[in-house]
Amino acid sequence: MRVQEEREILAALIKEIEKAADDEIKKILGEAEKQKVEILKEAEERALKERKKKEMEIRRKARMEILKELSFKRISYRKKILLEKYKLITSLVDEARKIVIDEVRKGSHLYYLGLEKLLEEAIINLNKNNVIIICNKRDRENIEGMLQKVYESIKEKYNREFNAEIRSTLPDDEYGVIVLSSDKREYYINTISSRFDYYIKEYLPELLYKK
Amino acid sequence: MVDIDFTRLLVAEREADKRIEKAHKRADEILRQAREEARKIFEEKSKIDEQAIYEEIRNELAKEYEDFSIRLANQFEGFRKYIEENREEIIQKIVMLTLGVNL
Repeated sequence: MRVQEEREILAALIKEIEKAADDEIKKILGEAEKQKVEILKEAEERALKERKKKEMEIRRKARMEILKELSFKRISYRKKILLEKYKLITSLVDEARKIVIDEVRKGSHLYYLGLEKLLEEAIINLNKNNVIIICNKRDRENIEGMLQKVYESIKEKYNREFNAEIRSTLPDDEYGVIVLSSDKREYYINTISSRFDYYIKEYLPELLYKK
Repeated sequence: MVDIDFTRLLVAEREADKRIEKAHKRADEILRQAREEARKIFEEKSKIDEQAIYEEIRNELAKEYEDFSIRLANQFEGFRKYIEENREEIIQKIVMLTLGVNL
């Protein structure tokens, strides 16, 4: 009976030792498997992060390189279109210039109608009582003829009187008028060439894009 | 009082120690393999196809350029048409403004 008891106790102790060992082994391997999962998960995450980083960098680099190539094409195309636009505008301006030159050279009714208004505008804007009117030789007579009408118009509209001296010192190929104050310190240029340049510069873009 | 055979107990304990030691080694091996696998995963999954990305960006930007060209060409066509349709009126306006007839 005692031997039997001893055997049972011993078996129980050995079983206990084996069970403790089993538990420990289970714990060790379980922990290792857990760590393995963590390591692999972390590797996946790190790889994804790295991939994103690399991809972003490559995309940025590719974009820069390709944009550089394309920007030359863009500029070149834009230049081509601008050139076409410029040609259209130039032909328009040239045609307008030709008509203006024709009108002023032949001294048309339209030119003298306008000249009277240019003269009036210049005198009004200069706002002086004594003025010198500069015109070319050809127009002198016409301006002398229209001066009285301009005088009356300004007097009526602005209640202003003025004395004017006419000088035909404008070159023959220049048309319109320049009005100076008698002390020559102030002036108003209303020549045809300056007006043409002014309207081309100031109003052409507006006219061209008017819808 | 029970008389226990300690020799057998010691053997059992030594055996258990050996098994635990073996489990530690196995655990180390699992971790070593995991690290190796992780290295491969990282290498494999962080790889990118540079050429494909370039191609994708090139196509995307080429499309943008094409849209830009079409837009610009259409704008110019609109401009040309406007000039064509209003040429006389514009010229007349410039002439009249220059001569001062409209003042």
